Amino acid sequence: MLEIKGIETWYGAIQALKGISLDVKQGEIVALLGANGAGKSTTIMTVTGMLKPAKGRIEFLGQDITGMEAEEIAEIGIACVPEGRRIFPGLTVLDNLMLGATPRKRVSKEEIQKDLKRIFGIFPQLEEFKGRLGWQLSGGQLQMLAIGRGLMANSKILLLDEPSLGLAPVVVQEVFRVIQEINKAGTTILLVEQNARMALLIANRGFVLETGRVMLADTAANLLANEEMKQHYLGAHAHIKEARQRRRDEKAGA
Amino acid sequence: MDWSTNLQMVVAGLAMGSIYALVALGFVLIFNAVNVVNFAQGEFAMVPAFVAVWLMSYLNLSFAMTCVITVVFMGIFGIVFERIAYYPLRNRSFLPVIISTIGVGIFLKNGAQLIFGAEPLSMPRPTSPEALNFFGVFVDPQYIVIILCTLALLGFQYFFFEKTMLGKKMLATAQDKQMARLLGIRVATMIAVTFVYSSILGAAAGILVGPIFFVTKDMGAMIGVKAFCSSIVGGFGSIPGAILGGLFLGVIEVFAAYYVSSAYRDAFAFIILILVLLLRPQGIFGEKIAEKA
Ligand SMILES: Nc1ncnc2c1ncn2[C@@H]1O[C@H](COP(=O)(O)OP(=O)(O)O)[C@@H](O)[C@H]1O
Ligand SMILES: [Mg+2]
Repeated sequence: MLEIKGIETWYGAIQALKGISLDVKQGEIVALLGANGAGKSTTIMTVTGMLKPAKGRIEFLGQDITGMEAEEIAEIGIACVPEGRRIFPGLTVLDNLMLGATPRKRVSKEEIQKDLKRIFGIFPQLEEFKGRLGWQLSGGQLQMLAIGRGLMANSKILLLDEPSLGLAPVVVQEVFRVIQEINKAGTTILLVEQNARMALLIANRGFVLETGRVMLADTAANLLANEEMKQHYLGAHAHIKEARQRRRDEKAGA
Repeated sequence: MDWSTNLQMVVAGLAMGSIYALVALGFVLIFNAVNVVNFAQGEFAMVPAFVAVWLMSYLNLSFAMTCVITVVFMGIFGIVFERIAYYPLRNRSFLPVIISTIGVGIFLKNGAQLIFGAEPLSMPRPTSPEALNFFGVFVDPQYIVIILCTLALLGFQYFFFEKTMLGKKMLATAQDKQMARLLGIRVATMIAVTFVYSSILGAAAGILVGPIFFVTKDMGAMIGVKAFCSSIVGGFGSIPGAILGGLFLGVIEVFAAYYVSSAYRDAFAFIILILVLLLRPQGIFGEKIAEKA
């Protein structure tokens, strides 16, 4: 469905992706794993058209979409819940959700209402707070809204960038449950995660990035059993160590 | 104190304040959309005033016809302005864009002088020059027209941003352009529409203020500066702040001119501006930063 072939993406003089190839098949959940700074978000943003690759090719449903504008890519059925959630702070929960349906052309009001109902079914809190403004929501609510808004696009594939980041463990469980549910309902998913173990438990396959390259690519089951994976990404506390390292990096950077 | 004089001044202040509010809104909407102060915003009121005078005095068109043509003209003017002053520089920092708006502003002023001469023109009044008598309070009917038209425009704007998807998309664009693009919102179009709307607000301000002012090439600078003060006094970036700031400044100005000094009438806007910046930099009506982010 989605095929990425050897893309290289630069930020000015910094090369973030050094030839990434991966594919996602219809109906799958594919996990995109790797340490902080490996290039996961850059990969996602290159697929959405927000970043342009210097080399390589991206195909979606057999169509070459390399170099297409982000607005057009949204319209052909690729939706993205970006890192940091990016909820419009001055708009209500309901407005944020309705804007999620922008890429759908020629869709009836009834259909939109039906999808809205479905999302309120998945996240009852969103219905309860539908009149609240974005900036008034908690971290967990923001993430639910971000996923809900992504779903409103009724896309063929949904790209999720670290949906569990900064959430309490119970909420993380909930988010992963919802991702599985969405997938069962027919949406293909490319899931970026720090929390490798949880991601692989719901994924069909996984790709592990390291400094802009794909280091490992295998089925989720094989990756879970892989010795190297166990050591670096799946240790009981690997993602907690990772989070601590990230905080240290941020302090050093700031 | 004479209550009828004071009431007369409130009406005059609200009328002038409405003009400031309309132009201040233009400042704020463009600032929110592209993060740049448009220094030619005052000229968005000067240009339509000249166009309207020309249509009425030289082509002898009716007032209604003049309004329609001027509004359409300013809508197109907004697109052209955006294409020339903003679009080519959209990926640059704010500084080149600011300089370009200043440049286009100067061009418009000199262009107006070149075409219409340096003599102040007067716009034919659509309203009677006789003051209306409301139970002993004498009011220029043009003031009433200004206030009512501004209210109608604000009502339309409220409806537009609260109830239409196009309005929501414009707000979304102002709040997070990248996310808006990811959702398939045509950001470039939303920005162009913002310029068109700001320009139409200028058309309203220019046509409404024309009959009580002389139409000169410098009227835009005067209104622009007061409107800019209004938007800061109200809390920069805030839509209600721009409206309330404009009305507040208009009323204060009239009272200060009457009770303090009429010679320094134009200085009070700056005195208020400095006081607000010193005592309440978020603006008198400023919201929490998070609310307008
Ligand atoms: N806006 C940017 N400007 C410059 N370099 C960036 C920018 N964003 C990311 N990078 C760099 O690109 C690399 C990949 O980053 P990213 O894709 O965000 O990684 P991940 O999402 O896996 O944590 C990192 O080295 C990062 O420092
Ligand atoms: Mg990332």
